[in-house]
Amino acid sequence: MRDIVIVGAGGGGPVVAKELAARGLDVLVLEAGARHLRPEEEWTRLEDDTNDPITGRFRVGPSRREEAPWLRDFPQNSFVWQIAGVGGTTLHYFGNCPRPPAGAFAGYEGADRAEYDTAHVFPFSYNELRPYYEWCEETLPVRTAPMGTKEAVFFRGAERMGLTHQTWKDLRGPAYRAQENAILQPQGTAGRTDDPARLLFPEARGCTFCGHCFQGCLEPRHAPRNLKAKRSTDNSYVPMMLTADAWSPGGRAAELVTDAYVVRVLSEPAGSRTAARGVVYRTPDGVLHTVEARVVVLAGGCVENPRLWLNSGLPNPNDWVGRGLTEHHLDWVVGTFDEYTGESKGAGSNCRLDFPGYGGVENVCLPPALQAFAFAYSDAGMSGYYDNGAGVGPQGADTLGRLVGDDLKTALGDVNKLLTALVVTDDDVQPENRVTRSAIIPPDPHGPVPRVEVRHRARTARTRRNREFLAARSAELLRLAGARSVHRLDWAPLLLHVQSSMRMGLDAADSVLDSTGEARWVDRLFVADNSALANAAGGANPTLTTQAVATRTAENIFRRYFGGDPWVATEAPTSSIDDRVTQAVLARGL
Amino acid sequence: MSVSEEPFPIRRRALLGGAAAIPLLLAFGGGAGEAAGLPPIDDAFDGLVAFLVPGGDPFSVRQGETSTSDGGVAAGAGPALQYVYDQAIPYPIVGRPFDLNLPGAAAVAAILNLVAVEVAPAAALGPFAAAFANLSFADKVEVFRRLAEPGLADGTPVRFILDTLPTLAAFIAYSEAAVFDRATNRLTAVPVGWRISAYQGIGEGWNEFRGYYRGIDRVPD
Repeated sequence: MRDIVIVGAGGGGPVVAKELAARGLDVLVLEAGARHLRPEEEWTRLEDDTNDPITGRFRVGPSRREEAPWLRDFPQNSFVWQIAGVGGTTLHYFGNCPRPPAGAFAGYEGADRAEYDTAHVFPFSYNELRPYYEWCEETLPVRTAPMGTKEAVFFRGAERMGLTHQTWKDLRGPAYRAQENAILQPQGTAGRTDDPARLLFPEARGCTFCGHCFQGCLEPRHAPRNLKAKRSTDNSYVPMMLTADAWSPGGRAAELVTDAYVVRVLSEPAGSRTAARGVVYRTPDGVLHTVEARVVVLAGGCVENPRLWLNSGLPNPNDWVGRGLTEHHLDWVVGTFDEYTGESKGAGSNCRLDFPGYGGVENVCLPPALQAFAFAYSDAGMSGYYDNGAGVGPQGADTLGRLVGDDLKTALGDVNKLLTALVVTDDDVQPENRVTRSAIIPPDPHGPVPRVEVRHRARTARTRRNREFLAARSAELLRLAGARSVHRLDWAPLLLHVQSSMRMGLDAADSVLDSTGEARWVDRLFVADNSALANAAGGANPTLTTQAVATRTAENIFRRYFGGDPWVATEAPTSSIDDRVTQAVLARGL
Repeated sequence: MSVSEEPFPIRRRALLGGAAAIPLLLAFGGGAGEAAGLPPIDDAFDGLVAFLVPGGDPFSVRQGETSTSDGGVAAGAGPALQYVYDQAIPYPIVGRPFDLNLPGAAAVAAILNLVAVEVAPAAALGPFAAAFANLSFADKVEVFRRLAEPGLADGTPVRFILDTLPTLAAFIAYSEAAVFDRATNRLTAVPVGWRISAYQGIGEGWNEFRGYYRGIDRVPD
């Protein structure tokens, strides 16, 4: 019997694995997708080859790309940008690690406390979680982002808005700032030359401004895996969990098995309750494998976790498994400039606006095909032709909706004369936004497939208010920065930031997890990814909060089931770029 | 482009046969439709990518919206997009609202062509094999307006599929899909999408570092 089996090697699972492997526990991580062990040889950074959501390397599907993706039932205009495989969706995240507003947590008494989703706060205070943020920020590590041309243009607009320049981490009010990013800062030749021959490690260290965050980070070339610039978990927590014996006294390396799709959580009666005792996973040859473990941790994501729970027949007495999905009600506002903006170069996003209680706005760097995707994705019809009854306005933009034909081609005439603003809304938990099992698409070899329902046009008044406010601020910023024209998309649901489908909460009537991250009705079963979050993290990019909560959950597991003491308050974290990690990564070919 | 294209590629026959074992009732109360003949797929997809990204090709000329620079057809986006939908919809779509019993790109083409004929009956007469490809630009917009109408396919995966069409067509047209050799992991030509967006292509890094805003490279709590 293993000590811990973790389902999923994305943004959250490797955090628990790393922390408990460092304590010497026997940890097994099962990942349904690909290993991505040699990115310099395997990845092209080309957009279709990498990002095509159906056929690309980064998709929700098997590692064998000639096979079809794993099907999901989306009964509305929507899209998903999740990834199966080691690193999960952090493979294309931008490393943005803002701390969330304290108003998203229990016990907040600030003057703006009514501005948040007060019915669904985290079941502990921000101050209680704060040490875990600090722990993760040093582990990844998180640092203040550098500036490229596109950031200089963005900052120009932000300055003219009259906002405060924030030079601290905790949110105190509306402000603009450089992102706090889990991306190693540029050193040596990185960011200072176009010459690929001079961008090899160690001459170049940290971010080379290549512009391919969304295609996975392999820069600088020749760098050990844990010294790649972006701290997606494949470059940070996964190398740490696999080398825990090398950098943690008493540590024990975790084991990772990929192409291992968990199809069932095993459980047994425990008195009047139910307890998890392991999992069953399926390999591509069709063989089912059973793993027994003292504790099971679900970290397969907001869509897969509820599916696995329901397919396993685990209890769901309040019917909240899969409910309360939040996805930041994202939107996209674009400015077209007469000047060079460097839009396709640099890190994914290095600057942002924050409006606590509303959410945030950040700049985004994308190559042309993804820009085209973003330009042609909307719930508001085709720009200039019909609005599909969307009921939203341009909020200061010149035009609204999908761009097609000459309009699209003109807008994308020079990708480096755009500046894009991603609206990240603090959206409310709504029970009708949920993951269930499809009655329409046939089951696949892993069981009934998930159905993801988002009632895009039935958001709460606060959610709608927040998004319209942020779209207006985006248009304002772009104009003040000098945009010749501004276009708003009104995106349909784009499942890029997804949270809270297995939410923890104060109230047992509307949550799946208690305040420790353990399932309310199944002992020894924890959830440790974005789905465990109580709400939309106040509109902050969710990964850092997920990793902080997962670190706290790891402590709770260690304390409750292994008789150990917590460590975050008493120890100093080891950085994922620590030389002991590097040497072990090199020695083990990781 | 082909005015009289081969309507029954072998791979689609195989796909249809293989998928027929799992017919899918996609809408409420709809019975399995009769197996339909395969629609003209290539022209429908070229008509679609010309709509999103016009160029100087015959499909763009036909729709009455052209461009002096290459568009989606020259980019080879039509065939590449077909492959995507064959992967995305491995099951036949049957039942309301379209009663097709077709999978993949064939289903997409059939839907576009069905609605195209509703919008402009003369579109069935050519010159292209696909009615959608014979529409004017404004009539193509009308096809999408009708397909997007709330209520048409709400609650079914068809709703999702329909709304992906312009989005994925635009994505593919600006990507390298048609000029990438997966066997060698190399490009066979500069993608059209890169040229028409002035994109400099994949790089290991750029001389773009402009320092830290106001010199701040580390902030306290």
